[in-house]
Amino acid sequence: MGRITLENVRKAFGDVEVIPGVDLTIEDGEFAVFVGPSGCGKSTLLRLIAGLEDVTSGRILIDGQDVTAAPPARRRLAMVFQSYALYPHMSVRKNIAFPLKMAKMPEAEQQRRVAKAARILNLDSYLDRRPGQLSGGQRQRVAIGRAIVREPEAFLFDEPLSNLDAALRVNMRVEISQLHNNLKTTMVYVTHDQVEAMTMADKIVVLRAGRVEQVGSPLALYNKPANKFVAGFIGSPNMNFIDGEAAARHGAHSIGVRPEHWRLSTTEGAFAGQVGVAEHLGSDTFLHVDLDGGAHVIARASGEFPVSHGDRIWLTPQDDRVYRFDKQGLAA
Amino acid sequence: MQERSNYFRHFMNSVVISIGSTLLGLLVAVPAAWSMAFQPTRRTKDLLMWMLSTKMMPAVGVLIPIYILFQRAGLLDNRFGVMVVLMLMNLPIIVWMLYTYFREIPGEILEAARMDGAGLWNEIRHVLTPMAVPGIASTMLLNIILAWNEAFWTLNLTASKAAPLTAFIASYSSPEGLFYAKLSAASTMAIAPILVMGWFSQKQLVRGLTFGAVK
Ligand SMILES: Nc1ncnc2c1ncn2[C@@H]1O[C@H](COP(=O)(O)OP(=O)(O)O)[C@@H](O)[C@H]1O
Ligand SMILES: [Mg+2]
Repeated sequence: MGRITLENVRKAFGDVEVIPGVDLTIEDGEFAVFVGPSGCGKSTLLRLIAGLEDVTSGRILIDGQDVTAAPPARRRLAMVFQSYALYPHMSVRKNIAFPLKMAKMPEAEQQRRVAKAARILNLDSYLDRRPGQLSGGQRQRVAIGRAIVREPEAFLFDEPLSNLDAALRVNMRVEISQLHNNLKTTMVYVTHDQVEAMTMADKIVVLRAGRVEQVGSPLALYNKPANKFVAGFIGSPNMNFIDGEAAARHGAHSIGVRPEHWRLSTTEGAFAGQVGVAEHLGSDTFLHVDLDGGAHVIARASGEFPVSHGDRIWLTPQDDRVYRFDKQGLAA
Repeated sequence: MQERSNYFRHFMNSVVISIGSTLLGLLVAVPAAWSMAFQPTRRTKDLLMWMLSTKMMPAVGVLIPIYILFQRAGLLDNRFGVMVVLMLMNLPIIVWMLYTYFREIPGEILEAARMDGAGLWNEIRHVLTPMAVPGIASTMLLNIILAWNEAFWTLNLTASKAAPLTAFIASYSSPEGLFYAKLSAASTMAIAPILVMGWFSQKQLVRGLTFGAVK
């Protein structure tokens, strides 16, 4: 079991309040992702759950048990760090076995579990190497191996993929998702990358300046963002915002249209503009368009769309795909 | 014959004083560097600078007060007294070196150990110490060499009973004149042990001094 509950958790470093107060529940077996811009307090929140930082006030419960004052070792959580944080003086085998050794598990059982983890993570042939002799992706696997052997209540990941190159990152993303499908253990995953959040999460927690902006499934956040911040953060490329008269016509202070929700035409439409940069990827076409009113928007066409720099173009938002926001940026 | 036995006495004094002052220094410097590296405060940087600045003062400036203190305490020509002075003189360097080594140990690794269920003792035993040993070892070596070659304090605070090899060398330059042949022989015999030790530990020393520069 691994149900994690935060009750009005606050954290201040000296006078600086980093987490003003968070209430949150992560259900057992859930894959929860904390996402938000750099410096918004994602790591701090994760470290509070881990017990690596003390809360300033509030309570943290794991399976109903208050662990607010418990040291990290007592919380039965495993963590994978951004820097991997492997023990450089130990072999891969010893690294993975370390938490078991700390739990005073019998040697035979330790070896059995290390072998099993190595098999799952394709580390069999590296067990006697030192971390220094491994590639980034292999080190990441060792760090994950060290986390899974303990069979913890929950896994905590702090931007585990940000030191990997793009291709490897996609692979590891899939592997971590598969791991979650197999183990069905609660995972809390921190990232600034909304693509990772969208692709991996059961539940996304969007944070800004230490506050929870919205909690929901990836598609709930995509379809019903609570405010302009979430709307702009979720989805790639970002949502286009248009203010002024065009927005007033929709009865809003500001409207948002996602790049994939424009209908494109070379002859007529709601907004006229000129193509700035045209990115032809084959599978998609991304057009950076300067609208006649002065706004700059991005439009995505599926497949090929034969326009180039300087061409006139007309954009029309798809019906009921216009997001309306009031003056405070809240969804209207 | 007489001089040979003198050499061994001075040699033993050198060994006891340099190793003793080093161990004494580590006893003080390890916890000091430890807290400065892992629990720094806003003043830590200033403190480190101040400690180093004491090394910029000429030692002769404190000779008289220390001499008088030693005289009162009956520590003149006493091995323990010399040990303490050399320890204090080298302390800023030991603390600085250890501080730099400890700073090299990433905090996340210690946190990982904590997450893995290691209490403070296991964290120190299985993670910190193995990672800090190269740094501590090279600090120790350097300090032994510094203490072995130290001449100012050993010459001023010892006469015969506690005099190390530096005093043994100096005894050949007396008001009656310089005894070059004996002086050279004594010097060679004085540096030979440390040279041999340096030779055997040079790999460790170089690794220690460039630790962090080449990962
Ligand atoms: N130990 C600390 N002392 C002081 N401020 C800190 C400390 N750790 C984090 N902060 C501050 O808290 C804020 C959130 O940091 P962090 O949780 O690391 O953000 P994120 O992981 O979302 O990028 C930042 O402004 C950071 O400077
Ligand atoms: Mg972070």
